Amino acid sequence: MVAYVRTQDAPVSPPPANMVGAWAAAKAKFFPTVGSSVAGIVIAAIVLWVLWTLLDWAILRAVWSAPDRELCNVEGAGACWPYVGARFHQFIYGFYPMEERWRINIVFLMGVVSLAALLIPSIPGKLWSALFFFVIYPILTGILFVGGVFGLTFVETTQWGGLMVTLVLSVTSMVASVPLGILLALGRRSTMPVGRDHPRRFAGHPEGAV
Amino acid sequence: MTDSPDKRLTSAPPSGSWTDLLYSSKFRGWASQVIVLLLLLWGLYEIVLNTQANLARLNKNFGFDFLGKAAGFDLSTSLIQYSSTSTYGRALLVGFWNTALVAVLGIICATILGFIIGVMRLSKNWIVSRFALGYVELVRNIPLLVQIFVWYALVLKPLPGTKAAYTFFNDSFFLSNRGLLMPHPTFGPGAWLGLVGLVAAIAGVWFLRRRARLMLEQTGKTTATVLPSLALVVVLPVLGLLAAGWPLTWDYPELAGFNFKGGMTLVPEFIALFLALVIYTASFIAEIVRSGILAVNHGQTEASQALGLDNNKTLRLVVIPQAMRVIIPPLASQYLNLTKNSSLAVAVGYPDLMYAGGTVNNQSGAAIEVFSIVLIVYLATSLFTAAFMNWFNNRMKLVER
Repeated sequence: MVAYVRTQDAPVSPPPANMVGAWAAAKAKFFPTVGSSVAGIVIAAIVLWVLWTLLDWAILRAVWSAPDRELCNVEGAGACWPYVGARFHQFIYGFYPMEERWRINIVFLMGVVSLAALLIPSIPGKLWSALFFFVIYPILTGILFVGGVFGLTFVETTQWGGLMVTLVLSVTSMVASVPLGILLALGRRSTMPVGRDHPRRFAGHPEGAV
Repeated sequence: MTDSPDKRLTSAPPSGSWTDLLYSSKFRGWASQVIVLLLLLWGLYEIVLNTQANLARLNKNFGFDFLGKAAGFDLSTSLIQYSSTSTYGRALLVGFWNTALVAVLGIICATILGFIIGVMRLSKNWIVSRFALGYVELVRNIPLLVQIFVWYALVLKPLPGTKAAYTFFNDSFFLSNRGLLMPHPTFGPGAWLGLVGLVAAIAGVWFLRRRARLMLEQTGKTTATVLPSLALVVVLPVLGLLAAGWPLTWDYPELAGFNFKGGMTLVPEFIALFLALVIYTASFIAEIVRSGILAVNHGQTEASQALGLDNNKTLRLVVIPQAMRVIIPPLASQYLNLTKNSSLAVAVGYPDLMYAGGTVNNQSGAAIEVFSIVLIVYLATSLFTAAFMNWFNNRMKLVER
């Protein structure tokens, strides 16, 4: 036994007083350096000002109900919500005929339900959900939106509009662009000259760019 | 082609049956290529035939002689001489320069803002990093077109009319609903001496940097280059102009009646489009910059600190050069996007190439000719940007041995 070697660990010193506690944690989080503290305060002030302006316009000075548009033309009035309320259905359905809008509602409802069935892991029957969502649902959507069969009245696409068109266009193009993109990617990797050079011109981006 | 992995298949012993041909990769390759080529040619043929038939039906001739005719319409802003008596070709040229202006200024400012937001996103300060996060998520998830309209409304609405315009710097800048008016520099005779000074300054900067690099390589000593370079760029052109008797005068905007006279104008349409493009693209650039910095292994920072480099030098000499290699390729994509997105100028009526093209088409009816010009110019601009960024990328990328 060597006498001058410690047999026990030296006691652990407490951290310096200015490194512990809520104040030190807050300081490290919000004011780590002088420069960033100044930047943080300026940014916080700007954000608060913008939020306050928005709140003031959208809620405090807003007109909530108006029998006609004259009430919104008052000096100092903020957002004109009755206008949005009156036009709300047009934002969603465009000029789709009033009495046929249930068709869009059904398509939307079916979409939400079948997507939930696909995306929530604990719901069984994924194969059937997938079959419905990717094969049957698009066909049903086409039939319901366009009409002209099964006694449904025909609705021209010029009458479509609003959020409905946004969703239809984005979902359809997302689904359609994936296989096309895969095809082009495979074509670009190909050793055959026709298939390779054509997509290259189509993409036209530098190597490695996204 | 020579070392195809399917060699086993092609060199299978011939048995004479025609199904063997179907399974040979060589035959399949040729057949599929011929089919693709035939489809392409057929599509092209149909397009040409259809166009010819339609042009004949509408009694129109294909040709570019309309470019020399008088345009007869005004464009709200132009970098080159233009009036309603100028030609259609001139109108398209005005559009091109306006596109180039908003694209180049947009790219420069979006890069600066994007780098700032990207670095802020990595800040240790909670407020700063959360602000950058909020900025990125808010801005890049709102369609650009919507943002252009919002900025147009926000820029145009609160600005006063010309009579009550805000003025800055002793009445030399005016901000009103006509846009931002600024003094316009006019160069008299002898101003070329200032240009000579600028060229000499650029040559001097190049020489200074070269000498500093050689010095560093030979002796390990660093020399200051930034301040001397700045001094050169400022002093030499000024000396040139002084030698020519200061031919530089400023044309100040003045209120005359209901409008301004003189100076140069940034129209509100430009300001709205520019702000929207910069703010939108900066949010993508910020994420690219953040990913680039995070892609540099933390061991690199530790190693450079172990070598005794301070924080500034660690960032400048170790982290940023390596981050740039990750940043540049997607950055090139964003530059292309910004240039192409600038065609949304039609939404607010900023006379860019697309707007000028649309108006020329309306007036002259030469739809195919006009839009093929517009298409080719955008394509050429994009390919030029892509080629430049490829060159830059090759210069910056890691030299592999």
